Amino acid sequence: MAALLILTILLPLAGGVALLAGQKALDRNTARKLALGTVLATLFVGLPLHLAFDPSISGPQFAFGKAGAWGLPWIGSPDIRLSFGLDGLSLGLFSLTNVLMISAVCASWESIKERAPLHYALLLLLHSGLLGLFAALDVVLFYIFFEFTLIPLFFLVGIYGGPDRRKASVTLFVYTIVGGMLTLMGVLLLVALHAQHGPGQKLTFSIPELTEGLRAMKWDPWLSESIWGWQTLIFLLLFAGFAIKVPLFPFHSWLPLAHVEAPTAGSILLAGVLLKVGGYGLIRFNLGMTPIGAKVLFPLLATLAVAGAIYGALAALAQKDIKRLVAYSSVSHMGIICLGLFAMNSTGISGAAIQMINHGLTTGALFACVGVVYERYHTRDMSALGGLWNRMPKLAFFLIIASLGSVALPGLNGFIGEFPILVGMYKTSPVAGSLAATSMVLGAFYTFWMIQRVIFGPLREPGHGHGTHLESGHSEHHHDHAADHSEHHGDDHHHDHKPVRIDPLAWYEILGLTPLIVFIVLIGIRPGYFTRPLNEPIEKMAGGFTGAKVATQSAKSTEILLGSASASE
Amino acid sequence: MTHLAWIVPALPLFASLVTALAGRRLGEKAHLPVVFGIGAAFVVSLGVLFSFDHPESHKICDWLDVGALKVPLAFQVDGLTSMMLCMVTFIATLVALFASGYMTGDPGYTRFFACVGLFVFSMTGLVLSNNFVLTYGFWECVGACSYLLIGFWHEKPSAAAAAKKAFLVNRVGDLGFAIGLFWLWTLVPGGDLSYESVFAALNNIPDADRVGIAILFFWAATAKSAQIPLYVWLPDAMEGPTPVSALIHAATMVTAGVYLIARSAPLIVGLEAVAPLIATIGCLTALMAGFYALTQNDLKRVLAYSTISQIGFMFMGLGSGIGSVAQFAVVAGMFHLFTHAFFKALLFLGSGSVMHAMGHVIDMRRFSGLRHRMPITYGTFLIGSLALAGIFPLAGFWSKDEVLAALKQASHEAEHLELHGAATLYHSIYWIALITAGMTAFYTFRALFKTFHGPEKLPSPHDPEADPHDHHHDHGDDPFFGKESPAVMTRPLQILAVCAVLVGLVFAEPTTGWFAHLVENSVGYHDRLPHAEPHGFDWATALLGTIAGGLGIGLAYVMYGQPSALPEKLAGSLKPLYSASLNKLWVDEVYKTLFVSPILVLAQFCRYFDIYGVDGVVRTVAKFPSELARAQLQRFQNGAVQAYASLAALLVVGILTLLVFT
Repeated sequence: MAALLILTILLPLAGGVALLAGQKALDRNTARKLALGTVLATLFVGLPLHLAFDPSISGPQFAFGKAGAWGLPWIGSPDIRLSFGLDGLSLGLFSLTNVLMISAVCASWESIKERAPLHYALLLLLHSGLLGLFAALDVVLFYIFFEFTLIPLFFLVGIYGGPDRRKASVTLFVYTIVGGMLTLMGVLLLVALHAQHGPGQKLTFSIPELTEGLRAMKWDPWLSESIWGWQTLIFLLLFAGFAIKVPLFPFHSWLPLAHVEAPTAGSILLAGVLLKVGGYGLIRFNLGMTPIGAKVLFPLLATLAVAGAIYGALAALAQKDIKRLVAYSSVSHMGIICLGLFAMNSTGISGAAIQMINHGLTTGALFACVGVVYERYHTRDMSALGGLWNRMPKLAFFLIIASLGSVALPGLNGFIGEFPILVGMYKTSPVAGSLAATSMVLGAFYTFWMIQRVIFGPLREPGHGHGTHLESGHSEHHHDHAADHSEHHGDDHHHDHKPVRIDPLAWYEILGLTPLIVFIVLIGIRPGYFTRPLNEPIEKMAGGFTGAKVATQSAKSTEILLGSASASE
Repeated sequence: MTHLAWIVPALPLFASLVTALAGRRLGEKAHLPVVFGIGAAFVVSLGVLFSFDHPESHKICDWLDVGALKVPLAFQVDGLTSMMLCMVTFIATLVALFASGYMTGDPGYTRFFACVGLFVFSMTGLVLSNNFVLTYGFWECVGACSYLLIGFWHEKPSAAAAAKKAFLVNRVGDLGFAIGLFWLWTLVPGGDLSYESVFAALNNIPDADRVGIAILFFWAATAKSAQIPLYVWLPDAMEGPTPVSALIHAATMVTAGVYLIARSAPLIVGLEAVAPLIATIGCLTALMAGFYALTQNDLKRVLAYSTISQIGFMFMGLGSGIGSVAQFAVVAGMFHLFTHAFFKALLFLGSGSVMHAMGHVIDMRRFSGLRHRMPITYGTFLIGSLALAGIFPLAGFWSKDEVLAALKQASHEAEHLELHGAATLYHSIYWIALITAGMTAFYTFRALFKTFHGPEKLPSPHDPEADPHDHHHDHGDDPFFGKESPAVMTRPLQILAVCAVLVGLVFAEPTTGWFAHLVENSVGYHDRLPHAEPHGFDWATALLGTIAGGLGIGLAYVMYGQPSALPEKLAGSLKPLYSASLNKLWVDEVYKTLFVSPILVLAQFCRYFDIYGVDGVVRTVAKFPSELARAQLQRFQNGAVQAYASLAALLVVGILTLLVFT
């Protein structure tokens, strides 16, 4: 199984390198077929990992070596190791990446016309980078992948993006550099402290070992609950990179820009997986290694998360551009996810962990739907669109299911994460929990208003100004045929003799959306299968908060805010 | 048999899936799976009703298992559940049958029935669930299905707006439900929110928490059940096809709030603040909606406001549960829910039949005197109206009488408990309820007379009242224009009419008491709801209620029985009152100004603040390093990436060296 995990990570890398090498020789059609084949193969190669996964183990699985020395030696001294493995937390995100990659490739199918081989090569490199990131068991390895994912993304936005792509990619880049540097400093400080004061004074870069060791570290300054304590300081350093990546309010302003400029595939991956890297880092490092810091900073963290959830929703409400709307909705949803993390009890953290996957699926689907619309009309302005239901009933179906999932309708996936997050947060702080719950209403408001404007109402399509894309030469005369079209049902527009032809959803668009919708429904009705792997690792992590509390006297302010919550979990 | 109760929601769900998947092949027969599915669910419900003897719950499987939050997929079989199941599936079967005629020829025929199946699935799931979280789950699903059905004619902007409004207003209510659940979860040991465990833990929950949770639950109920202050979505929900209105108003949606409060009665009982609050809101809503209904010109709107008003009666019933009246109060409220379902479904389907014959026109100013053309619709509508007006011995009489009796007993009980304020309150509510009963009779018969009596008139496009945008409903080739509806639509009317006559007589407390026996046999009722000795039949209330109904009908006859100038004159002389009623006290406008507009303004503010505020600050702060980076990057020909990679690598190596060699 360990070999299979490595193979899963290497497969897209191989595909990416092949495409990169054959850039000149390959045409668009071969490139996209190769890419689709690679991502499908990766998904299927990765599947046995799910079947073989044992949810009763809290540590990493499918790793070479054994506890204490995971993986293969890489750099001998210091002992940085090439170690990969999955635990309950990373398993879900690992597979989410595999699923969303299919959507990303499908979303590029027709929309990428220029330099297609390079595009698919970048996608596959990103794929491999993300898989490696989630599977990395060594902090240096993690950091390398963390930064490596930025490179393909930078080019995806910078080469294939919209008119303002240069600014978008540079902003994305600079933000992540700054955050990433601080995070790296935090990580290295952790390693150093562990080597000096940890059990056995062992210099290790292994994430599981560091987590264990730092938990057990009995060095007084480390256990200090002062705002100037070591844990608080390191928490903030780590937080810098991850909070930007999430992005947590007010570090989010790179996100709307990047989304609007990114090609559809870039948006799907950015919102679907790359933001999760931030959440994943917060769980692994911030909560796992500096729990006291998290507790000390709770008031600040909860405030930022609640503010982000509500602010993002309000900003989404005011958007006219669908893609910007979905981008701000991500800010809001990621605020809710952080809220679950900062609840610091098993219910909230587990909810957040599953909600990361849920948000990846629903937002991925929403961006894919936006891509479908943009492909046909070359606009994302909702005031120019309307009544697309009859034009593309399948789009209406996908969009409505994804939206219902996104507003956390029970029976679909969003509820499985959002409800426990709020339950957990309410237990920790009723005020924060209740305030954040208002985003339920705001979320429904912007989502259903978007649906109302785009697919409900009489048909409205943009004028023929940008008509080059509107099916081969028919675009000169665009009558308003809203009235007679309203009689027209079904999606048999092939036989449509209208001056403007809008194609129904093509097979690749359906292929890109269907897996997402299937999982949106599946997680909603049978969540147990998806949440069970989370229980062990998160139970252990939540124990860190209880432990931290027992070990020392809590600071008064945290005590009041947290109440008796974490102790009784 | 009781362990098979899960089949009841499963059948409509399965039928809905079959319709959705095989719809295109089924074509005009797309309604069959749903009609038979819900019909079979009704048969199973009857089986459950007759086979259970004490409350029990069955677990199917786990659902949520996230951290410490564990929610099984488990169902409850008790009096409340089996009563609701039978009522919902029975009415839904007839509505689906009616719809198979009503919706013929609609391009979304398949989609319609798939959604109806889902709607019934959600509602039956809601009443079957054995714990609050699962109830909440289905509660939201009911809202989502209503969204899909109200917005069914998605090309109509008004339908799209109404659907969104319904969902949003309900979400505002759900927020209360959710926060109530979060709160309850922190109080119940083990976080097990099943009804049994919550009711068993009640002794250890402080009253202050119970009051908070009860008020939050009631807040949720005011949205689903369309009470002040969250009733505003229901009148707009008329935008959906009429059978949907019948479903929403009679069986599947608005009853959910009443059900929730009845279900939580053991939690609410004994709190001196909550019951009077519920009764007061119910009373105000009943009066207000009755007032609106007096002047509406749209037949369906009259019925919609009457629903709001009647649910107000149900809450008055539930809200009279103080002291030893607790159990009787719940029975009274639920009994009114039960009888109302039959005659309201009947009235809505009757109005649907009228619409079907009038080419989808529903404005009562555009047709009249239809009783000769549509004798079956007329006859059944008359029965429904009499039942709604509370005329002996029809269904509405018995249940309205029980609600009034409960209010009267509550006022005596409050006196007895020395709660003088509450006693006065219940006493006033009793009289206001009587007045509202008179108004109910008046507006119902006003609608009846305007539609079916007077000179015969059919809508025509040249009508001055005609909506100029109304091209869609051209009836040139409609074979049913101006004619009685086909049998598939009139049969359900007739069946419901029989029910509207009989259900009161058969189940009421003074006759057989079956309904009370059934409902009393619910989770937590025996242990927690105080039960007084039954009082004798309250002749005074029955008489007063009948007089109020009779007066209302009489007045309606005088004003609308034949054409007269009286209504015009009255409207003229009471101009401010008339226009307040016609414009529904401008509540929609007020809400828009007070809540929606500020949120939108705030949203705009956030939008620009994000661009110029947050991003502006960030850019200023970032200027220095980014300038530096740019200067640095120019040195490397190939741009940013290599520069960055080498920089990062250098940094890593530097720190590592420090770490390892010091």
